[in-house]
Amino acid sequence: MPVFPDLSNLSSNSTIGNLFALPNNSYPFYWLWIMSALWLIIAFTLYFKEKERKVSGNMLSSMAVSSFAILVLSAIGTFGVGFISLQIMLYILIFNLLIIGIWIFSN
Amino acid sequence: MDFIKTFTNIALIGLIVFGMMSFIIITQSDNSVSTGINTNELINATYNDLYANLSSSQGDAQTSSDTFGSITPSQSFGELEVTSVVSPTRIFKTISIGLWNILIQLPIKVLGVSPIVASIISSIIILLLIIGIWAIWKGVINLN
Repeated sequence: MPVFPDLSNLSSNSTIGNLFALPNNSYPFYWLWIMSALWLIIAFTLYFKEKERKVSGNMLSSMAVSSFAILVLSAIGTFGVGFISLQIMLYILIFNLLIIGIWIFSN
Repeated sequence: MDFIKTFTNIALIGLIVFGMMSFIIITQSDNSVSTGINTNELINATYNDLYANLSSSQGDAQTSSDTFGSITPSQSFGELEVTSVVSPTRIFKTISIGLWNILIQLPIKVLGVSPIVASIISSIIILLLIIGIWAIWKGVINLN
């Protein structure tokens, strides 16, 4: 049976970043899924709010704006607080830049 | 999509990618991160190439401006003088393709986008640029 890290793995001077980084030991893609869910929530919220206001919305622009938000959040999560690993940050960075690039080309 | 729009879009994407990478590098240096994102070989190479390409674009634009300024309006009536336009369009084509070749490496190497897909998109962009340049030379497109 696998042994998952729990609060006993934290030392007395652990930071909030160490606490958030606990799931990374057992499942490296944990924060990737969380960030993907956040990205979807922001994109759909923006899209449906725009649709409410203007009748028709632009899904790609909502996705691009959401990508900007997630990129900044991930940068702070990786280099500020330190709970997202560098490898996951790389995937988030390239995926979001790709969405932003497609959006600019579609205009 | 015409030449001017393709060039503007590629330059804008290049600027945004460079801006996001700069933001990340500044954030990591502010937080004294030991293993930063620029330790990754691909990111480091892309950042340096983008920096070099974007900084040289101003010099290239100045060269085209000088070429344009040195042309004397001596052509005979009825003949179209395209020399002043040929140099800038060639320079902008080189900048666009250079930027595109730098940027396309990121999704190919990290996300595993098929090189065939990338080469098809590249060929479409290059052909769009060529047709756009030809249209400018022939005066089909109104630049105003």
